[in-house]
Parts: sequence; structure tokens; C-alpha cells
Amino acid sequence: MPRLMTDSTMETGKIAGTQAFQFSSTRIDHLGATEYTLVTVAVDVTGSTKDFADELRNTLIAAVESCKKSPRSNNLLLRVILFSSSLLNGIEELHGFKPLGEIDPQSYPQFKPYGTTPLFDAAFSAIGATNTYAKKLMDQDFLANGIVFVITDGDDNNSSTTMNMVKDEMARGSRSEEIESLIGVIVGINAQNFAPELKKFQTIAGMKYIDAGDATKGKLAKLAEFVSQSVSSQSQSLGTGGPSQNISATI
Amino acid sequence: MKTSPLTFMEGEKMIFFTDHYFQIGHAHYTAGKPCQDHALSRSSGSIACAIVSDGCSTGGNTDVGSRVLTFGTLQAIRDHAKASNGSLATAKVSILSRQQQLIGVMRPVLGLDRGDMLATCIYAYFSQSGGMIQVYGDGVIAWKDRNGDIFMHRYEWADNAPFYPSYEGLDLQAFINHHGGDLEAVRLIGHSAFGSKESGYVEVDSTDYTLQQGINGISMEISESLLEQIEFLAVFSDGVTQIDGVDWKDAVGEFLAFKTSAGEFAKRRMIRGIRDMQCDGRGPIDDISYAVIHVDQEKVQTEESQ
Repeated sequence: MPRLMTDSTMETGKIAGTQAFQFSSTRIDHLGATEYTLVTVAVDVTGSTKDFADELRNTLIAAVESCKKSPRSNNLLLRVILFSSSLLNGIEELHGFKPLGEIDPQSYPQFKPYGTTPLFDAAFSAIGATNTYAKKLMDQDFLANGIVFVITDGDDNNSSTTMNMVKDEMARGSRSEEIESLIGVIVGINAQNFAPELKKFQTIAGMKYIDAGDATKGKLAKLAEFVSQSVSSQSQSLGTGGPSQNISATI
Repeated sequence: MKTSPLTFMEGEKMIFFTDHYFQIGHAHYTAGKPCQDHALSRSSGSIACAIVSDGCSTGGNTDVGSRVLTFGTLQAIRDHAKASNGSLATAKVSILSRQQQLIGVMRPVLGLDRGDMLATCIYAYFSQSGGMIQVYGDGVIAWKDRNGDIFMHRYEWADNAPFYPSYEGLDLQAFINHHGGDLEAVRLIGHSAFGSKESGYVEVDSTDYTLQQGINGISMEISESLLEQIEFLAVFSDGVTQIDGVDWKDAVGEFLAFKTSAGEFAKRRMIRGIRDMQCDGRGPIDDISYAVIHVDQEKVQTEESQ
């Protein structure tokens, strides 16, 4: 659920066809550019991530800080969500789609890992919100594309949505004129035991699966760099009619 | 976008929003020339203006000249608005005089030549009591009413040699001589068209203007009652008439097909429109610019309603 709206530059939206999945986004009249890449990072804060929660938070911060240095930073809108069954409705939105200049990642709260994994809900929320907001932008003559990262250490075991619902949202993004292009990436961290399930999710949902390896400092630093470079690449492909062809297949 | 009623209700007044955009044309881009069009717009809510200027492509640094003209015109309108308290009665003469004064001061300060100042100027100036549009040179003015119908007027000079407000003295005489020397000769044509996206656009009339009339500038008065019927009004440089594979009337209609009036609505519309046009051609051949005023209404608090 989005946080209580106290920021007058933001508004709440619902993913089409659902009541439970809401998101927040910058109001159109507060947007300064004419084209945007909508970036979503969904971070697993289930109990099994407890041992590297701080490192995961630092990775998120590093990725955001790196995106801020991109020459395309004025054309990026970022949404960050956490997911775990311990959270209300399984999803907590740290912030909705906001210009990078308005985000202070150092103020992201410390993660409190607990609960089981609503992975499909996280992917559905990330992709669905991207599609819904992109449609709103495109309907008002903005140009928009999107990229979604779902960072997890395990397979789904607690979602209200299904793999096929995620697949339908990914397909909606790729076939319609609601968004120029959409890339979805599942990033497995410490997830070797669940690689077969995550690869199956990749195949069915139409997303990419990247194995980021163990949750070491070095690997997590590379993950931050991967996120930043992928965002930059997708942003540079805006206006070409298709997704970036330069997203790395490995970290 | 919300539906706008056809008339204003009692207790409502007009509120204006503006936006503008300009872009380099294919010919200038491939020739390594800068964009010589410029556009500006401003609104205080109750008063608004929209201005475009198109620099002569064979002049000097007319990219700078067109900017001096738009900013000079904007300042002249500001000065008039402050002094006149919303009345447009003296606007044309007052703005022309102040415009010439500002341009005359800026040219030597910036070290510009007379050739750098050769640029057209079209502006629209709206207040609560109505509006005026002034055309010096060539270009298009168009408005969309609350029914969605668009009225457009294109001003075209013979020999593609428009009048520039900076002409004076020997330059003005040379311009007159270029057009045959007879001030009563017809050298400017106004083509009027009407229609909608659904029904298409047709030319309905044309008006002849003498050389003298073109030099004096073409004025159009917008009454308060007409203004209440207008949803969007735009002034365009003649670049809108030179889009590869696109008739000028269709181009104007496309650029007035606003989905919203929030933020940089005109900029987004033109960028999107040009992108679509480039799918079937090269897009704008010449530099293109427009400035738009959106007329909306807001409730006025009366003693009864408080």
C-alpha cells in the first residue's frame, strides 16, 4: 500500500482491474520533462534475508545514487517497494514514482526482515504500476518506457496473484501502445537453491532472470552497478520504439 | 481532459494558461544552421500572451534576432498590461512603440547588425475583456473552440519575402522596391480555413492585403464573447506550412489536439505530433514554433457563495 499521501505533488493510482494494488506517482503537472523511463526496484525483506539486510539496503542506496549521476537522470522516475508477508498486503512502498532529484536514498529505513515471500505480488505490483502510470503519461503526450527489478533470495510462497497474472501484465506492456517498451528483471541473490523455480518464473512471465550469486559485498556492489547501467541503457532507448538491446545477461 | 461548457456561467471568470515550443527544421539541421525560430508565452492568470518569431534564413545571426524580438515583445506587453489595467484600447500602438524602443536599445548593446534582426513576429495578447492578435510577417494563427472546431488563418507573402518589423529607413525602402514599389499592390494573402479532426479542414476564404497593410501589420480583435468560446489559441511560425508530406491545415489540427493543459502541454503535443509525422516523411523542413494560450474558467467567489 502506498504511504499516506502528504506530498501534494503525488497522487494515488490503482493497477487496472484490481482493488488491492495501489501505487503513488508524481502528478502530471509536476513533471518537467517530456519523456520518462519508469524504474521500479522491488526488494525482498523476508526472514531469510536477515543476514544481509543491511548490505541489501546499501546496494539499493548505491544503485539510486548511481542513477542520479546518469546524464539521463532528469528523465527517470523511480519507485521502490519492499515485499514480505510481514507487511500489510505483502507490499510496502517506500516511495512512488518520483524524480531522482526528489529522492534521498540515505533516508531509506533500515530493513526489518521477517515473514515469507509474496514474490508474484511484488512483480505484479511493480509491472502493473509501471503499465498503469505509463498509460497515463502516454495518454498525455509524454513518451514512456519502463524497467522493473525484483530482487529476491527465494521462490514465491505467499502471493494472492499468480505467475500467469504477472505474465499478462508483462504482455500488456509489450504489446500495447500504453508504454513504448518494458523490461522485467528477476534478480536472484543467495538464491541458488531456487534457481529452477526462478527460471520457470522467468520463462512463464516473460521476464529476464539474472543470478547475482552470493550476498557478498563484491557481488552486491556489482548488482548496484548492473541496476544503474540497465536503467541508463533502457532510458537511452526511449524514442527508438523498442527496448534496450544492451541489458547484460549476467552480473 | 474535462469537458468545457460552451459558455461561461455567472460567477465564473476566465483564467489563462500558456505554453510554447520551437524546434529546428530538417533543412537547417542538415545545413549546420541554428534554429532561427523562437517562441515565448506568459500568463498571470488573468492576462496572457503568446509570441513567435522566425528569423530570416539568409540574414545574419537571426537566431539571436528572433529571441530579441520575442523577449522585447513580451516586455512591451508586460509594460502595457501594467499601465493599462487590462484595457486593450491602446495596445497595438503602445506595444509597437515599446517593442521598437527595446529592440533599438538591445541591438547596439549586443553588437548586432541590422541583418541579425530580420525576423517576423506574431503575438496574441489576452485580458479579461478580450484579446488581440498582431501579425508582422508570415505565419499562422488558429483557435479551437469549445465544440472542437478549429478556425485557422495563414498569412503568406509574395516571393516568400515577408515584412520584418526591424525594417526601417533604407532597408524598408529596399523591401518596398523588392515588392515592386507600389504600396497599394497586393503582396500578402490571408487564407482562412475551418474544420475539425473528424470532418477534416477546408479553405473557406482568402483575403488580399496590400503592401502597406502588410507593413502596418495585420490586426485581429478578439471580443470578450468570442474569447469565452475559445479553448485554445495558437500562433505559429510559417514552419507549420512546411512539414514534409503534411498539409498545413492537418498539421495545425494535429498540434491543437491537446490531451491535457497541464504542465508543458504544447511542447509535448508538438514533439509527439512531429514524431508521428516523421514516420511518413522528414518532418518539419523549416524551423517550427508555436505559442499557445488555453482559456479556462474559474469560479469567482461572490458574497452569496461565501
